[in-house]
Amino acid sequence: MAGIISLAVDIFFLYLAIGVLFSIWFVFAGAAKFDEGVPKAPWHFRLIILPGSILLWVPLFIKLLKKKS
Amino acid sequence: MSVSYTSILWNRQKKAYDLGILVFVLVFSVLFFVGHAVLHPNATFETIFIRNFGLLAFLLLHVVLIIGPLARLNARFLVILYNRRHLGVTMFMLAAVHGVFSIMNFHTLGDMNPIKSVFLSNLSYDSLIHFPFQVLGFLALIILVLMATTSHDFWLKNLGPKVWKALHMMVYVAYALIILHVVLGALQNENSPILFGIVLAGFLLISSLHLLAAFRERSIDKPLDQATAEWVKACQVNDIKNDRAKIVTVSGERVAIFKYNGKLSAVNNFCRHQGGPLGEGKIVDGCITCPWHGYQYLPENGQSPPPFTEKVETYRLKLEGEEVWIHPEPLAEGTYVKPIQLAGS
Ligand code: HEM
Ligand code: FES
Repeated sequence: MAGIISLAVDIFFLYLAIGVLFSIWFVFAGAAKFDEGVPKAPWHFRLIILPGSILLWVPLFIKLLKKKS
Repeated sequence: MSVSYTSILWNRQKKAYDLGILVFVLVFSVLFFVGHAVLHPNATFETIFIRNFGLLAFLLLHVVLIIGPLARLNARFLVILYNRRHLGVTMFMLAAVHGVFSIMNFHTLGDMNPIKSVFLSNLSYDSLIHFPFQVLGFLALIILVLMATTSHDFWLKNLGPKVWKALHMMVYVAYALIILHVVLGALQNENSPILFGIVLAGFLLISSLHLLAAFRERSIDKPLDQATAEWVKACQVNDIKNDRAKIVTVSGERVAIFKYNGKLSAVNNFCRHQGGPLGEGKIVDGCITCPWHGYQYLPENGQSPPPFTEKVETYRLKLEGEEVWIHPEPLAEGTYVKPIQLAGS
């Protein structure tokens, strides 16, 4: 039990770590690819969508892949 | 309505609203600290601090949860609903202070990672009395962080209304987890009947308001069609007031049928701004106008007038005598549908 929980928490941290890397790219480049409102937004708008893109990097990534194909 | 994004569109009403929240938080905290110092002179500052923020978040969560049904029962409450988002984000921040300080206070002393310690320092998962109630608070906090970070318009637009709606309905899961967190936590600390009383009263208030609102709207939520139906009868022409709508449910979606200028058009009821009920709005200057913050859509194609870009799904209608029929299959967002021309106009 303790082992499984410990592993789950590690996976959760790993997920967040990837999310942090993804989000930096996303707020500066990725977001503009599917939302034309983004390039015109002020700089602090990027700060506002940063936490969400760390947490939701998987659905955003899937969406960007679909957009490409 | 948005052409590009800003962080927050401030106006006087929003500032007054946020000032109100701030004053409430400050007054509550001062009273709580003074009250604790008098009643429990032995309590440490950390304990009072953690309890204060937990309770504040819990109270605001109640407000967040009752605004929706209240506004549906009585339009006067739309004032509070107008900026519910700030209330929600504030509630999350208070809960986060409570959670982070609890973890700092109770879970950083050993050599284990503090988050792991929340889950592993007490392994009595099979006991009711000794259950690690902190875990329930932690899981609730994860839901709240997801909601708070996706509260900006950008997320509703880019996650799509279905995903966004599902994400924000999880507030009820968070609420259930928090109730268990508080009750099981209170069992382990001191059995304060006041705390149980607050939890019970809050639960009764929230559930009865939801039931009341659902009862009032039962005719709206009763689906008109069986899944495979073609055209279904929605209502009589006279059931709809001029420049207003009737809301019906087809294929599991609420649809607003508007009557305006001697014409009929139907669009999805879910406003693309923050999910306001379009069918409870009016036609203003030829546009459907959302009752929550005034986003506008053209009835015949569900598109916000240029330069705005919001779009909702449209539906086909037909007239048989005085009966309005609707095709349950939604058309893509922003699809033009020729409005039904009513006789005699
Ligand atoms: C990481 C997440 C969380 C942790 C580790 C945590 C931890 C704790 C602890 C240790 C207590 C007992 C405090 C005491 O009685 O001395 C407590 C009580 C409480 N918590 Fe949390 N909590 C978390 C999340 C939440 C959330 C999200 C909420 C609600 C929005 C919440 C609401 C409360 C309330 C109302 C109490 C009762 C306060 C009282 O005893 O007067 N907690 N929590
Ligand atoms: S929800 Fe804000 S305008 Fe409709």
